[in-house]
Amino acid sequence: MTRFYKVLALLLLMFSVSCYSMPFLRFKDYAALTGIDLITNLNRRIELENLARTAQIHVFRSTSTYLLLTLIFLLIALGLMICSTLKDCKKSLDAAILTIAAALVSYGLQLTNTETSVADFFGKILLSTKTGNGEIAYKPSEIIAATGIGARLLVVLCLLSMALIAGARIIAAYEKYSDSNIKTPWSMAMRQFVRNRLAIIGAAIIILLIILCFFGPVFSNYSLLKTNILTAKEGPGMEHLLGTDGSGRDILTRLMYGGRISLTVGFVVVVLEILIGAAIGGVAGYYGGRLDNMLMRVVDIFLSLPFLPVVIILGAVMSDLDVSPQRRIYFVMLIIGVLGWPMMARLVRGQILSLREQEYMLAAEALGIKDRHKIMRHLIPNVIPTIIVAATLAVGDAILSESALSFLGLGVAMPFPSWGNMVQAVRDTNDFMLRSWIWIPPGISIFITVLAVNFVGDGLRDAFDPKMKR
Amino acid sequence: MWNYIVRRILQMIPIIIGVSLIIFFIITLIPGNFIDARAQGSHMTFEQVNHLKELYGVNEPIHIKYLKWIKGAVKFDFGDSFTHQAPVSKVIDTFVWNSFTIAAIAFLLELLIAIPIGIICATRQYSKLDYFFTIIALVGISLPSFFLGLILIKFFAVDLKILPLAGLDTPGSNYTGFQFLFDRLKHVILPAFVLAFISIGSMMRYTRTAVLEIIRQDYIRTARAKGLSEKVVIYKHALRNALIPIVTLIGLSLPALFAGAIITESIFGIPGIGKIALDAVSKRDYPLLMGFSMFVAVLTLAGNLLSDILYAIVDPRVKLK
Amino acid sequence: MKEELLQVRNLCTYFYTDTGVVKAVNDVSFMVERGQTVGIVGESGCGKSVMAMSIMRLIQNPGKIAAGQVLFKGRDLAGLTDKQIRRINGDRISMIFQEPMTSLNPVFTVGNQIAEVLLLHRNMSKRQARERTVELITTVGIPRAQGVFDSYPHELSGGMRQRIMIAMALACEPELLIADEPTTALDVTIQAQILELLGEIKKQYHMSIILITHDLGVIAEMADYVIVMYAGKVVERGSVKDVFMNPSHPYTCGLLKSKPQLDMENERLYTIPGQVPGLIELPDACHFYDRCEIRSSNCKKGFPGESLIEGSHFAACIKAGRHKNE
Repeated sequence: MTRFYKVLALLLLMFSVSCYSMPFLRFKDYAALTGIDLITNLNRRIELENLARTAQIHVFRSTSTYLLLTLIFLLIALGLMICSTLKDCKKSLDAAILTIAAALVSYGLQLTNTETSVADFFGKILLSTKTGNGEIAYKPSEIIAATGIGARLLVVLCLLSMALIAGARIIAAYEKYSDSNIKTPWSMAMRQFVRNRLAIIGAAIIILLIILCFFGPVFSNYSLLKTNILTAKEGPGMEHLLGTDGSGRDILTRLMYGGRISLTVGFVVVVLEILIGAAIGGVAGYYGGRLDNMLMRVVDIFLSLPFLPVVIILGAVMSDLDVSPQRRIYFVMLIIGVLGWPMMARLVRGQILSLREQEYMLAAEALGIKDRHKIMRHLIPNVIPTIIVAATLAVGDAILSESALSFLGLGVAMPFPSWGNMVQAVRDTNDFMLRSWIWIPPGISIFITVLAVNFVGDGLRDAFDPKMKR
Repeated sequence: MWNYIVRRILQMIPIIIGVSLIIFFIITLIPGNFIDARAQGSHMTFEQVNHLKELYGVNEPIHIKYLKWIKGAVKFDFGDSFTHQAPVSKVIDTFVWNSFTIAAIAFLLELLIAIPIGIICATRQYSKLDYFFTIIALVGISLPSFFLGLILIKFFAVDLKILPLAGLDTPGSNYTGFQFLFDRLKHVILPAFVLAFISIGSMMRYTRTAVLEIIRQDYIRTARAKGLSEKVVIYKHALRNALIPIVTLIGLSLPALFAGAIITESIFGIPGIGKIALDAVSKRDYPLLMGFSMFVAVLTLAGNLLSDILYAIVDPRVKLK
Repeated sequence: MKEELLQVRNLCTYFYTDTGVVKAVNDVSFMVERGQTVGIVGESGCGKSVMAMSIMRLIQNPGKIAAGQVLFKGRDLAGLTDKQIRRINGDRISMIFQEPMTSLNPVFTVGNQIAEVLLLHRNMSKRQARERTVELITTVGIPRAQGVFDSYPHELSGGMRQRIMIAMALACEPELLIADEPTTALDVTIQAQILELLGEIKKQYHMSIILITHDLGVIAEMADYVIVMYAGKVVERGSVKDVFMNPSHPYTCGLLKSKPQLDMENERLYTIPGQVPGLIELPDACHFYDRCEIRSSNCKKGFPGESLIEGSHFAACIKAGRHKNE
């Protein structure tokens, strides 16, 4: 059964790579225009060389880095899948899933909108193709339409293949975990986690949201930024599933883009907090003494800072310094992360302090194990559960903070959407009272996302807690 | 005990200094200044503007500004608020009580609801009731406060029209006595509910975790072996032990009582200290901002101290050194 | 006069967990007479504590008494309502536990905790309860009882705490005292003192004691009758003299052999080979089969019933004495 999944996934991957060449299937006479002519006129070496050179330039200049990365990732994934089908290795399956995910992420980052697909590799070649009379052979709109289909197909195929591989992987893991005789702390925790219905629902919601927000826009016909007064403030209907906002932009599309920002902020902030907080907390807890004292004083100072006032002030500072809307997002992430690391540091330090006194650490010391070894093999694996649980819950907090900040107008700035600043529409009392489709969907999105994250965090906490066993 | 308190207060001083440095530094990042902003639309001459700047000490170097400010801060004099034309401490004093009313009501609600429910969930772990309340608790901590507030306003004030839209009192009204109280209550109930709902979740889960841990202990088994009814076992023996972590959480809630809820007050138009602070940001009234930030920071530290003291009072095993 | 105080008949206490049914106490029967000290001996995990707690109905979810009777003065404790059991617990039957460190509530004074039993089961005023408590504290051998009344558990040593537990158990002059490994967590010298105290109390109050321990020396010193448990079942029972002089079940033999003697000259101490089996899904055969030195294929054909050795001495082994049914 798993073999079947894997082979199917392999085929889907091959198709998705070929999606790149979708435009060429559309424009069959392209070959007639350039290739066959050249082949029949083999003494026209110069033209061939020119074409080769143009192709080279196109590949390395006109193609965006993201698209190139996507192609590379897909090819790697293909290789991994072939390898795993032949050798039946689980690690390459995991790697394949990650690689496809990376490909999709980089593809999504590039293809924010079908408008920009003209910038990609094949689009550029097609644009520069001229007919015998020297006119441009293909209209940009045609190219967009063709590459648009290719883009959508690529996303769907990649997701399907990822799902298949994940299915194969889960079946293999299930067989391993349902054997109750294997009782490592990790597998026991995983078993406990999987039994928690809320946690699984939460995880499913998060995955769905990620897919929706990062790849949904590929399927949308509407632009992120283009305004259209004619369609402004329309209610939900067939054309616009969630209606339009005050400037005529499609709410559903903006919701998806906003989701990208909110999810990314949540994730990046927590990574920042972990990197800084866990490092400092770990060092303080392990080495103790004056270093610990000093570091904890710093932590105390940061913890005493009133979060919202400081963040608001910094937001105002950013507005005054005329930070561009694109840059603001990064600063917002930085600010929330920098204000949040002390909590993580405290937690990690506390955990390390209690672990340090545990008897197995004394035993390790008695055996004369080196410092670094002690840290790596004994301390860290026991701190990781604490960090994971705290990090998951911190994601929820970070998303809430960012949305509150954006709601006040001090976070992500217009015209870029974030769920928080979409709720800002309530400033117009009419919109607030009569057009709830403008501000309620983003609010609900924030709620559902944070709820799902909290479900998962709660499930993880129960799973890792040795005392909460049934 | 008093030794301990004094020692803790001394320990707080370097932290307060650190906090003040950070806040001061952040505020000075704000480009421009109040005087220039005000002067833009007016017909003041260059000399007049400069004169004002000197009067307010705008052109002085940073460390001088900081020292001047700190000197005053120690005496609780944070200067005068630009927008309110009054000493910052007086401004805070005027508005903080509005915030306190709402926060206090919310806090009471929180304690009265969260603790009993937490206990019930712990004693009936894994039951449907436990499940149900767990979900409600998680909903509470996942809802963005501004969104909950907006939804409530839309539902109660706009659609049902039974509660007012905003503010603390009905504008233009002249109620006294009971009518005044009732009117005030109508205005206050929604913001208090929002604040309560957001924090009930975490308090409830915290209580639940604490009680779960306690009922596993040997002394609970001893209590049962003595023939005590389950009610006495839980509400006397277990609860008294659970009070230890709960009381520390209560201590830590001190800052929230006085620091105002910036977002909720803005949405409901409550003239509390939180909203004043937000307005101060948009108007770049930085004496007020700095004073307010320090106020909250000191409250946070006081909350920590209170939490530790309460802990020592409630747990006979702990002796403060 | 030999009067029956407690009779346990075919008691089964099972734990219904997600990984299976744990038969902690599996068809156990024995009897306790008035004034008698019955010792229950066995390794960790053999079910002795669970059995003691079953008598007092202290077993919580996911465990419950699945079958059998616990007849106390003729009444089946297993069938009583919660309210009825609570009237008996602490009053007619009381229990002391293994860990004095954690068995007392840290936030109440010890006097308060002792007086609580009196206030619950006897109609006393607070002042009377306090007086009686101080008496009890003195009885268990703690000096300056008035001061100790107002102390907290963490201010007392382990031995003193155990004495307080005993005082708490004695408050209503119970007819049966269950002592679950009362001395395991204490130093040897304190151990001796506590055992001496229990002996005195037993004489003074004419109390029956069920003494649970894994220490054969304690059994030899304190008990009149001994029950040996293994994997949830009784494998041997009889008077202390009979069992110690004539151990008839291979497990009992192993236990006695394992105890180091002062005049031994062996280089290695004897241990029973193998490990205690997990209690889930035990086969329907002698549970000791895997570790038994005298096993045979017949031992696998179902659990051996009790064979009478002599008088009140029984052993559950097909190779011991004569079968009761024959």
